[in-house]
Amino acid sequence: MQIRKFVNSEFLTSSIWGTRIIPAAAACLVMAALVIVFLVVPNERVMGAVQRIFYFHVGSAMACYAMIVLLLIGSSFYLATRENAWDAIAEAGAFVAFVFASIVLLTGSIWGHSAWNTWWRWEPRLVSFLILWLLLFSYVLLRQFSSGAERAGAFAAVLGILIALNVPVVIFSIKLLSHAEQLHPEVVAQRGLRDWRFILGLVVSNVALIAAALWLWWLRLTGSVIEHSIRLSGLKAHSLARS
Amino acid sequence: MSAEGRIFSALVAKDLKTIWRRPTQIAATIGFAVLSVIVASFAFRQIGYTQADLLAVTPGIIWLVFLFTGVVALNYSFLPEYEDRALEGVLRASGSPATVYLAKWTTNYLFIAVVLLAVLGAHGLFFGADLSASLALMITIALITAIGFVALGTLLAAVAVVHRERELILPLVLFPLLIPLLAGAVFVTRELLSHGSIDLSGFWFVLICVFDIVSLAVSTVLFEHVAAS
Repeated sequence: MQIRKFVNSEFLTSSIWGTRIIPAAAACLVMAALVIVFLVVPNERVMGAVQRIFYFHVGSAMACYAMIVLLLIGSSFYLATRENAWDAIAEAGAFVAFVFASIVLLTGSIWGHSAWNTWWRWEPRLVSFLILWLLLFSYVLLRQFSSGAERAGAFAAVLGILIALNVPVVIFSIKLLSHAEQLHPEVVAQRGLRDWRFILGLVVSNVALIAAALWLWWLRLTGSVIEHSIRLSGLKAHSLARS
Repeated sequence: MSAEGRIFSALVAKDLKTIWRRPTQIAATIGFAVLSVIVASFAFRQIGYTQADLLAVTPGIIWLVFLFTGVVALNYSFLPEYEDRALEGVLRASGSPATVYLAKWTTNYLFIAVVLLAVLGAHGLFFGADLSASLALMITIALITAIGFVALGTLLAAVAVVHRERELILPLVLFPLLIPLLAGAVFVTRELLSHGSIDLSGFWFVLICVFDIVSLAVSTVLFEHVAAS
């Protein structure tokens, strides 16, 4: 596949996907999710209104995982082909994943404060997600430190693959301890959603946040591609002026 | 001996000679380890910990000190190559990047093993930790844990060395990845110090072994992409 055909400033700023379809879909879906979560879904019996944060918490986690999939794809193909376009895809994925991972930790803390009466508990799911967040944080830092350095892409790609390897650990960490020993709920697998409106709320908010993440990813990708081409043209102008 | 084997042993011999010719580096690293143990001992005694309390935190302190000392030691592992631009030469002269990586891993491992022994010794001296009853097992666990630590550390030291902020980048990238290994090591050490034996089929010991194998395999594969320019 000729990835450069798609990842260039001309395609990214003019394609109907990035300028019309994804933003419009993200906006409509997020609006729909807000309406469903706050107006359609009934109050949960035990927790009350606070339970509604669950939809954004899980949705952000799904968006984060989706972005890490892009990070993994971008990193692996970059190592295989050394095309800068793949590197830009991975970088944008990691940045957006970091944003959504932060949202997950934040909403999770708010939820935990009202459900467990504590902002933080040391249990497998929380700890493994914190590790994921720390890894994304160090990826972002590495990018900032090494912008413009030689081989920066390869280093970041190696770290990106290591981060992606961590995701299954996070997902399965919840199986590590029995339900009696940990508090983080496993709602879907436990068939905790007894009302169809809960399921509707969950599905729509998941899709909405993934669409929003995709749009942010597109914007970040466009930004870094333009930045790269400006740097390149600056170099070219410099060498022309010298010769 | 095969060609790869000859290259491997030549590289290991070269690295060991480099370390041997800079004895101050070994001395300083071990000094750092011992000093950290002493500082930790002071910190805990100062808040009123008795000898028994100190023993309860020993497993955590051992691995914390080891983590910090190890990261300081690993920071230097690729510095000579980087400063002299020798890594490209070594890669071009030798067969596969995997051989270069494994050779580097071997010397780093030997160096880290010495550091580990110093950490354990310092604990016996300054922390009053009685390791004598299960010393052989303790050293074995330490050496098994070090496999994974050095595997990821060597890979990421090669990543970090080209940056000006390498002392910051290596721990920032390495520590989050090492958390499962650290948790396992602390748990197994606690088990050993309190019971005198460990459960070889227990979750944490198996985790350490799996972590070692996966990190060594993944790092050997990925090193090629880090090193090849």
